[in-house]
Amino acid sequence: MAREGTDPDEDVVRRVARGDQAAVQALVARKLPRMLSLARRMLGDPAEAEDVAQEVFLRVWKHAPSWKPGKARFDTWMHRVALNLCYDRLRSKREHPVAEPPERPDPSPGAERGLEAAQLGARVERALQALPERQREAIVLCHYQELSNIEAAALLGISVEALESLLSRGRRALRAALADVARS
Amino acid sequence: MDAQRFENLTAAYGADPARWPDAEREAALAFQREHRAQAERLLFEARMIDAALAEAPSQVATADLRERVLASAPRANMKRERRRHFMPAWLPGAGLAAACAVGVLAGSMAVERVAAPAQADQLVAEAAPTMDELEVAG
Repeated sequence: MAREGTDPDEDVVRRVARGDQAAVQALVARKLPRMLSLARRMLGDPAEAEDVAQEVFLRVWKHAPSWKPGKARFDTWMHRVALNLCYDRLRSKREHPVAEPPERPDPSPGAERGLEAAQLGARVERALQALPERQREAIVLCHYQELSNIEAAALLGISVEALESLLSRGRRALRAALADVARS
Repeated sequence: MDAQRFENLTAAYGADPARWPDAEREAALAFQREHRAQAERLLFEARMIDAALAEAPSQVATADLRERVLASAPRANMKRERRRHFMPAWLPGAGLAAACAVGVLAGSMAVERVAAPAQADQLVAEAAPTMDELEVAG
């Protein structure tokens, strides 16, 4: 879990602001997988996750020169930006729902075991997507993004107690939705 | 830590102590040692949900996405590098000529010829931001 204290990204962000290409590459290597993972788990859509991750970095390039360390960690700020972009897309989806494309299993021979894992993964992903948005956020931030409870609560603008309540309810709902998987 | 808190903790954060809040990890581990059977029952529940969560597909950043993100980054240094690399062969000479002209116009006959190359370099360096601006404007 992320820890309090000095910001481990402070130096690289300062160098990015100066246009240091090595720092740019380091920041992308460090943060792109995290932003992609966050967006994928919030949106459940790989293409949209890529769009969000790309958009987060556009904001990073724009704001790095004016970034002032000390208030929030840069990683937390990036999570805030990514979450806001995800909210926009989720809101747009609610207002303009589109039909889900049919699932297409991999027909290649020998893909059966992989197919089983993929189907299981898809079920878990659907169960995550079916959670109320706040519960999903709490689980994504704490479980997948491994933020501390204090950071996650601050990002969601709630108390640690309220975060724990969201986490517990979300996990209980997942347990119910995946009862057969969780037992096997 | 009492049983109720241990239950709430594992219900929220799962069975892996690494995910428990720093401030409570030691106390929770102590509870686990001292109330093994009770703790195991609660941890078993939490482990099942952790295992299910671990099945969710992860998304790997493709080389294409990485390239697109890198291409969107400010390229100040790279631009300078490229300009140095593609600097026409006549440009240092032009700088030298400009330096000489500056010297002549100033009417300073005392300018030592050995200083000219250094001045030329400085002129080329000073011209760089202007070239940057032209590139951006163009």
